[in-house]
Amino acid sequence: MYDIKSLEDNWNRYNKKKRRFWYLTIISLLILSAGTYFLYYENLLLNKHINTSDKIVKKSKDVNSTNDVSVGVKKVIKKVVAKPIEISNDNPMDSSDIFVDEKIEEKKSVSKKIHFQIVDADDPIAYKEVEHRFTVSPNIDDSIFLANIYYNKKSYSKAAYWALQTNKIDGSIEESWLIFADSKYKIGQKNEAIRVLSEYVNKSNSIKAKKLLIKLKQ
Amino acid sequence: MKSRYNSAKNVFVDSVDIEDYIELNTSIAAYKQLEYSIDKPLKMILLFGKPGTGKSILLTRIADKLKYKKEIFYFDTPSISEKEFFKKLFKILTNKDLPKNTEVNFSTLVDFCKSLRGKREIVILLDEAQMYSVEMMEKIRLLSDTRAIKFIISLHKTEDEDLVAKEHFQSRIWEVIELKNASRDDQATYIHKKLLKKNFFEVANSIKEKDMKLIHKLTKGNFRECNKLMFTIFEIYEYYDENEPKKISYDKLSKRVIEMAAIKLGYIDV
Repeated sequence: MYDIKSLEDNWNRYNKKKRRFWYLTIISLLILSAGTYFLYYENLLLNKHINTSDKIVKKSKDVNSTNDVSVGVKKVIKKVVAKPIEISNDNPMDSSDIFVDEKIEEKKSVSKKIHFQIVDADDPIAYKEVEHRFTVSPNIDDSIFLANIYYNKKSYSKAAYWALQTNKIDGSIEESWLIFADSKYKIGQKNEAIRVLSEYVNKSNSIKAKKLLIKLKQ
Repeated sequence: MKSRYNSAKNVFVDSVDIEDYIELNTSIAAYKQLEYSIDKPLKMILLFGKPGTGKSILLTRIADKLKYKKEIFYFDTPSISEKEFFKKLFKILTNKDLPKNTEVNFSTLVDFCKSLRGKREIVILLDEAQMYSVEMMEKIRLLSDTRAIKFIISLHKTEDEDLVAKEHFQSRIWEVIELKNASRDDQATYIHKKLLKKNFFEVANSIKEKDMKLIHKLTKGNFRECNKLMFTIFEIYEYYDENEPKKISYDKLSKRVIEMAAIKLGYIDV
């Protein structure tokens, strides 16, 4: 007969070891779940922040269209850092002269009173975040969002840049063509704006584009 | 009074007794395959598998079943020397003992076997053939070439099996039968049948599905390991039954006792 006492002791030791393994597994799982939840929650907050910014921009569009509030605030135009941009030859959009001398923009805006904008140009955290996200994972929602933002902020060279980025991903988005053409026009490249828009009108027969083309030609 | 577990544990004493043979689906298949192969004009048949997969009991079973139909002989333990092996073979072939202080001349033996071709068909079951020397296996091969003796060689599935297969029998016509460890269902049937065969109905019923699962996990379906584990489990039960009966239940097998037996046999490291 075996020494049952020592066998029982060995079993108790084994059982403790086995239970310890399960406790550690459960604790690890809990830590993992908490970490996942935290990351998810953080991501949710960030998305909320971006959505809020989007809503504010939309609201500011409405304010601009009614022209009911004017304040004597001079717009601060930030220097745009030029980046090399690749473009395909068959695309009528051309980025070669997107980055114009900012003095042109400055001249236009310095003397004018601009409409009140709720978006704080000095607090571009949300846009920077979207720009960063676009560099990591290009997405037309982000690029068209940025094109709209900069267009509304009258930062036309940036608006043209982001419209072009949108067009590179999906050439069929009308909004990107219109913003690009109008931005080009606004920074003094009327001929280029008309050329690009004419090509789009021929391709798409868009009424909006036709209207804008007529406006640009006047 | 003797504990019921005392007798139950003895059911699992490892043996190759024909009385202990348990018919399982896999063992029936292996038996039929072997029986069929013996009837075929093959010189040699290789039966191999890991230790404890039931090779010896299968050979014992086939020797017992065919003993009135064929000249079949079971060599359970390998002969210590060539001399002893040929002495045994001489007796089988001639039904006479070799005279004292004489030896069998191998080439004469081969010639004698050739003379038996077509007249007799002798089947020799060689268990634990991995224990035979390379030279001995070569001679066995030459004897099988006479077609008067058919050898069924049982080997452990080790490197030796490859050696024999490669070096000696590569070009010979033979059948290969592999025995594997039991599946969980087969092992459960084996344990139940073993106990029921000796009328341990209550003990058999106390072993539930989850216990079978654990036993299979610990023994990996090996019959020899299974016998060892069951024997140890019932030995521990026997102790409790006689000394501390409060610690055990008679209705179901205790997982704790199974694990204690596994610790005892070294299946579980502490």
